[in-house]
Amino acid sequence: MARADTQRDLALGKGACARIAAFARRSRVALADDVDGASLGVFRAGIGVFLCVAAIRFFAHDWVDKYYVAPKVFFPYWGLGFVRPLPGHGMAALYAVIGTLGALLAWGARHRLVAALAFVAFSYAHLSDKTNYLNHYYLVSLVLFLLALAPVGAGPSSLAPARVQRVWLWLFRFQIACVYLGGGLAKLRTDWLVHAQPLGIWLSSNAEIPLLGPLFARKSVAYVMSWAGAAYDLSIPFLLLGKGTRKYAYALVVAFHLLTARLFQIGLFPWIMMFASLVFLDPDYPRRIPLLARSFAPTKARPNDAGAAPDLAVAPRLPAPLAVLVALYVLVQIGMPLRHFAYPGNTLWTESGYRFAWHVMLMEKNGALELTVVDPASGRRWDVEPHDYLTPQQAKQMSTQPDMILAFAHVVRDDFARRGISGVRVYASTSEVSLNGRAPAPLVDPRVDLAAVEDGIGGASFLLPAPTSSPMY
Amino acid sequence: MRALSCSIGPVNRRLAFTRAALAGCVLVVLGAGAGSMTACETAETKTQDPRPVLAALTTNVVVPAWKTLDEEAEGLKNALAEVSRAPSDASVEKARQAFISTRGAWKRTEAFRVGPPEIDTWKSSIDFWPASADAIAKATANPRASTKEGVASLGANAKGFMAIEYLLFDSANANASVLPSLTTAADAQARRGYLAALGEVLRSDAAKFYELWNPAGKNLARELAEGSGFFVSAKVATDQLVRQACFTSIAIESTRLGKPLGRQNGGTPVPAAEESPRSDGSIRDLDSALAGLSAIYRGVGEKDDLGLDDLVRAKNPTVDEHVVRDLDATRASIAKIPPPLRLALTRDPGKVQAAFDASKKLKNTLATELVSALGTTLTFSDSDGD
Repeated sequence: MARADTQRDLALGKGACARIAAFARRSRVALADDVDGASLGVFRAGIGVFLCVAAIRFFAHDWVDKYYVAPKVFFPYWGLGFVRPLPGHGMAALYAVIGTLGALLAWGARHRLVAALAFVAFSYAHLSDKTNYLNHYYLVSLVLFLLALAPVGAGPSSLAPARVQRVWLWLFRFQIACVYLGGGLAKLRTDWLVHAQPLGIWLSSNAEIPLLGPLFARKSVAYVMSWAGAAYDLSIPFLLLGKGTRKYAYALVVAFHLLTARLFQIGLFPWIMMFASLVFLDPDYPRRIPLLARSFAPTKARPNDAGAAPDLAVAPRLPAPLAVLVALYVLVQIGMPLRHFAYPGNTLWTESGYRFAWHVMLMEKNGALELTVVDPASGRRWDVEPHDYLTPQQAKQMSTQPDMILAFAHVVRDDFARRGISGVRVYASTSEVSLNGRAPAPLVDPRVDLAAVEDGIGGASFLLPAPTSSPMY
Repeated sequence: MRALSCSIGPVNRRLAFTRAALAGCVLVVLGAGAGSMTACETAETKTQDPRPVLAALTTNVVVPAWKTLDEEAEGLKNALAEVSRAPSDASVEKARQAFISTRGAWKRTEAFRVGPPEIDTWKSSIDFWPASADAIAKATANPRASTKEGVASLGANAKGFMAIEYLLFDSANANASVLPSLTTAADAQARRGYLAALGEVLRSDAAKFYELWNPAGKNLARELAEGSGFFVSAKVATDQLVRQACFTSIAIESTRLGKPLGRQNGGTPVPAAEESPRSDGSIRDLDSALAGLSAIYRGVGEKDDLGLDDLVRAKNPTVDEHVVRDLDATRASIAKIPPPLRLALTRDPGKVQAAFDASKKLKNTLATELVSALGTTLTFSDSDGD
């Protein structure tokens, strides 16, 4: 009887393995086959335009000066301490370069080199200070990285290549899906679902909007929108992929992002997502748009565009190193949004694993922080007001983000050392933080000498537990 | 038939599933709208709409405050002109009173000093701290500084309230040196001319503010009341008021109490760091700034009307109680400091410390509870978020 079970298990195991192998083979073949390049050509051009617009906005809003010239102190990322704002007019020049590269990317010639340079320049700019972290900056960097690999440049008389391997189309789809699914997974938490926060706070502060404003003041609307938002994020990639649901899903994408653009100050994010979601449509969709149709070289549709099984013998393959790189990329993109599960505590409180994980619009977090410096040699004490070192924007961001608080404590420690008072201890004497409408609670353990705590990726050991009370609103 | 169902069935099921999912999403969204549309605007939603509050604050608090400053500045200008023409104990004392009154009006606008970028230049021209004794000495020796145009072209550290204070007060010496400096000193005439010109420029700068807000002028009042134009929306306008209130509380706690108390100096009091040292007006300044903060929060100006507190109470009455408690406690503890501040720092540091502690609590409450209650975007800039 046991032997029969074993044989049956073996047979089942072999069957499963065979099925997985067959699936892998079919996937490899399907991904190696080519599809119309029009949609990815448009995607590349659009990202170039967005990059250009983003650079122009930096100049128009005087953000180059506000973010990189006015601050005396910066908050580099762990392991990227060398990425600092360029001195003098360096950052203005960098953004001018970014804008130019965006225009060139839209144009499409030598797009791989252009995208690679744009990736380096744009990533350097937004990685030079944690204060300015935005999810959509991260997304643009990732997309530029992929564009530097993908063969999606313009032809001599065409906005896009005639054909591209399907793997590239799916890689971009995967990337955009990561944003939605990562955002959706991140919403599956108590604050979002049970307390309808922070939407409850944010919606009610938009009570002035005609027609919808009075509704936003109602908590029930916050609940419905919280749940609908999570459902939207978790389902929209699949709905966009389904042929029968695609056009309705895209209408939903437009409606959703127009609403977020109206309600929240989130810059280009909604527009980027509305545009990027087009990548889920049929790859030849631009040819069906009258204004765009003549921008593409004619291409002979192959049966595979309709989903027929391609011939493995004639299908081109990705070069092995590129295939490995792509596979690694996919693994990293799956792992990054999930890494916060590896850290103890409430991610919204500790913010360990919070960035680069599509945690979009999850927190209304406000804080008041003050450091106290103690010289153990003399016993003298100093209060340190963050605004004496930081810009208002930096002080605001730092007051609630543990790794920035630690970095600021080190800045203060080093400043005292420069002034001849070395060996000081630095304590967060005040670190009141209100999370998603809860009563303020101390974030940092005031007994911990932050000057002696090393930065790292192991989680913040100097924090007090997150408040367990419910939001007040 | 079996083969047909095998090949088509799964596809149909998948399609049916995706359509059902999409329909579910749409229904949820529509349901939210439809369900909520049935509820017409209620008292609750009305109080959460910032527009009536902004309109009331504009007409009841903001515009009257700028008008008062404009009028007080006119009085100060005239009093300084009188000193310039006929310096005497009486005219100098009258000018001092006009200075105190005008300064109070100016400080009461601090908590709602919002507006386009050019107001930063006007602010510096009116109230740059600290004045520079060297710059003032140079200005006194400069013949051009006796004209309005000459003073207007000076650096911010040689004009505005602090320069006038420097010339009109010397409280540490019972003001004994002031009248001689304006009558018998070698440069007395130049000082008088400079003083008069300082009054004219301050009057002119104050008028710029009133012109900016005056409904008969550039009418920024309308934009604040409606949440339009420069303020973009009622939310942005509310955010700006809350942000400015937070800034004011930070300045009171950290700069105006913390620094003189020596909180940022290893514990040694720094009387020179007080805000209005020569007129011994630091405590008055603190109270005036808090009065303005209280006015914008409670909506108490020419009458008791809507204020930010009405918006907060609609969200959570407890937060309102906390803000009011901390505002009152801070004002009360500041009132208990025996003036002048420079002496209290050493003779009665406990009371200064108590005021500092109270102001810290107020600052924290505003930065955390008030900001959260109103969903204020506290980015302090026009930057994006996500």
